[in-house]
Amino acid sequence: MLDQQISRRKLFRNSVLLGAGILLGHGAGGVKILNAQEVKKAKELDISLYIKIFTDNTVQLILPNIEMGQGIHTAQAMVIAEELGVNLDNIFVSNAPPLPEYGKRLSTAGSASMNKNFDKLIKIGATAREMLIEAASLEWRVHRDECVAKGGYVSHLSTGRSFSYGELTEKASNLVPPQDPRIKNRKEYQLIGQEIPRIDIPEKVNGSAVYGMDVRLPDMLFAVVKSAPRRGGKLMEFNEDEAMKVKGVKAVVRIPEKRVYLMEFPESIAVVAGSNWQAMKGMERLSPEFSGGNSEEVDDKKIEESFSEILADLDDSDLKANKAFKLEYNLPLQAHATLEPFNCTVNYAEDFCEVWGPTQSQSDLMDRLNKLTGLPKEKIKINVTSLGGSFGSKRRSDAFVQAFHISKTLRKPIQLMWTREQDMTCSHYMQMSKHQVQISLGANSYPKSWNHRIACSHSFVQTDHTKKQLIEWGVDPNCIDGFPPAYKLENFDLKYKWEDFGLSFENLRSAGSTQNCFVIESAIDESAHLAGLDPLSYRLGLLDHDERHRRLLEDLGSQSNWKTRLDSGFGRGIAIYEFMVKKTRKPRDNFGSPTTVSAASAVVSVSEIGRLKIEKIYFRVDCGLCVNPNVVRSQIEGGIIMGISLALNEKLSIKEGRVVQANYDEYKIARMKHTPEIEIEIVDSDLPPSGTGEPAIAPVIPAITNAIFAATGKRIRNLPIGKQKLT
Amino acid sequence: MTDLTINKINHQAKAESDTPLLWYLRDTLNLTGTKYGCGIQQCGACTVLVDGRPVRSCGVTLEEVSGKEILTIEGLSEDNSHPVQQAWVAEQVPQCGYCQSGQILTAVALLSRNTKPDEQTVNRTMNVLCRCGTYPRIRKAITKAGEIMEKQNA
Repeated sequence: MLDQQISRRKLFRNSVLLGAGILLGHGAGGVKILNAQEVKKAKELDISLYIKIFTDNTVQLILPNIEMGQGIHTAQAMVIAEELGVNLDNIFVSNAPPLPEYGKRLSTAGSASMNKNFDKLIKIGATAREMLIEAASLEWRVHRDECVAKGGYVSHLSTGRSFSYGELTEKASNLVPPQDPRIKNRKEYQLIGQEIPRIDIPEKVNGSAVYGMDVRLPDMLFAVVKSAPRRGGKLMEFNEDEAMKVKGVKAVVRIPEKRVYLMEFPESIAVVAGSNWQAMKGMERLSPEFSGGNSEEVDDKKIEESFSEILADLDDSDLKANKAFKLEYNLPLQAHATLEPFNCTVNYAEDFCEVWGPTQSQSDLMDRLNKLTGLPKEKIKINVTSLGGSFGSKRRSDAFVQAFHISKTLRKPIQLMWTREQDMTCSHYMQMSKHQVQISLGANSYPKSWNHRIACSHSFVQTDHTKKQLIEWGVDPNCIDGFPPAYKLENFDLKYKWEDFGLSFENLRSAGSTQNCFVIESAIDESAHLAGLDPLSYRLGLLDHDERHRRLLEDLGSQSNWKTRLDSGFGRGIAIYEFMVKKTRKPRDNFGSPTTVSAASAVVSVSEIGRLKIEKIYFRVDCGLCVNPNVVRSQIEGGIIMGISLALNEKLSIKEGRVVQANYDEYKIARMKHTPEIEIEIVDSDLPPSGTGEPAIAPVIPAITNAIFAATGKRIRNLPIGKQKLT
Repeated sequence: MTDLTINKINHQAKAESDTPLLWYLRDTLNLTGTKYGCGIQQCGACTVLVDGRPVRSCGVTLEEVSGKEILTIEGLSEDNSHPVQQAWVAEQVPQCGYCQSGQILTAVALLSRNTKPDEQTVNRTMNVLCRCGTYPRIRKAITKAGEIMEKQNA
């Protein structure tokens, strides 16, 4: 039974629209019934979400969002189950293929999956339910109000007759979808808001979930690859003869530098063999050497000097006040370091290309394959596997581009894996930045002026979108995250400038919010200290105008027993953040999407010899309607742990233009021993659902560093905390 | 030829005897539940049990485990019924799931010696990396699995 359920889920994951039933799509003009021909026209209807009810009562939900551990497939299926009136077990979720009839841009990012799709899911579920009721009432010749839809059946109340949804699909297909179906109000919800187990968990406790490297094809060969560690680097030497001597090695394939649209893929070389181990051994013997590249002169010191120059340039004010300060903060280069490295499987034939692997954006991958292969999109099939972590990284398609080249050269299906060393040293990283904050306090002790300057490392332009943002608009999307601070400030001024050091960049979970929140919440703590006031009451005094923020912080104060005294060597710190708002022409622009406000309170201890222990994290989140508290809590827990990890030790250094750290022994991420007690409260909220995948990270870090200050008087202004002396 | 017993089945491995167990499991036997994460015994995603003890399979060769009892995630139960799997489902531990085979087998070894490990022991023993941050739930699941095991043994 369990096996059947698991294998059915897998069967559905990347196949769509098979079998008889009724297909509904949600597009710009509302919900439509679609037959096969109309699906082709779906592009014009701008459809982005489908459900199909099969004659056997199974429901397929075709979603634009990828499941990468954040529980979104479960949560979205719950919304359908709620309005449609079916059991969650009967809903099977598929990843929409990146073809025009499935939506404009299929990508999973910004913690936006639920807030973007909630209304559509509600509408399509309710529409289908009303049509099935209508179909049954016509069949029985009774009034529709005498019928109820529940658990996959429509029943006639007075006679007890019933039809399964499956039996009604044919009849329902001839009806016109109601434009204004009855939507449940929140009080009627039976599923939404419940702690529902995730549908993808059974396959993740027995090793049967299929990740990119678990794909097996007849005749498939394994490849490992080494790329130029610097952009523009050239392959100088390699020992092909030695590599070919290794048992099982079939070929050495050079992969030239490529540019696909604006994306650059550095020169690489692959060893192809009968197993990964043989390929890895072959690579060791091949010992490829790369040289040159345009970041050769870059190292940590150069970057630091360059940032200081930028800040000196931007430093155009000198706030004069009785109480004022000017401080600098440093945020390091960091890696996604997902446990699953980049990988994929590609089978290229002259007129067809099929790929399997982890991606966070089917559309980006499709665009690149389309351009690379020259094949029309209908001749390219993308199978999205389970993702072994992504956090932004798997928006990139480097492994697919490389495997395509090898598959084309050797005419074989190729499974390509990046070794951990390749993954850590030749990847795309979270940009680093240096901030300067100048604050002057007014007579009331609150900040009168706040001048914020940022120097950051942006990468070269790699997509049309970043080109537009950086070049045409002059906007770095990460430098505007969370600005201006939510606090009431008379004058706030933000200036920033980026420099391209030749390092490739990709957002890491919560992106600019992590860095900016750290600086904002550290600086406000400094202000409170300068004013001689309690950090929590100081913040509350600055939030009178914003009930949502003020209430959350006040309640977190009670939740975390803020006023209770701690022993010597212990300290409390607090921080708050609203995800996602940005400074555009408008301050705190939410782009019309619901935001998540979350706050963290940390208790830490620092021993006499300076040993830090994070004792407890109290967390409070307002994410609007909480669809599944089980999923939301797991995302918050994950965010807290990642925040701790980024705060404690994560930092990549650059030497001669290359990343120094190559594996987890040098790039240290949080372990079980770093895990504190965690207490999360999700607040009741009338607002629409907002994202929870990213928001937790941001406030956790300054809550910890502010707690260190409270415990020791030592301010942490450079991350990570690392080996900085705390006593 | 190396003699191996994996999930109670005997294999005559033809692969070179210096092949790490991980790659023999994955690429020859297609037992893909065991994962590659780092190749240097740092992350623990590739953990399997060898004679009941957790071993990082990227760091042992076929020769070194010859004649020993090897258990991978696929051999733990047929239907997710092992107490640790039950607890992992009940506590909804996995997120992306990639490290979980290693987490689960490490927990199985720990609990087979001690159904009530203290916090320090859990911290020291459960030393498998999880980037999603499932550690708080792993802790809870270990407590729960220990309880299930005690009930079964009673």
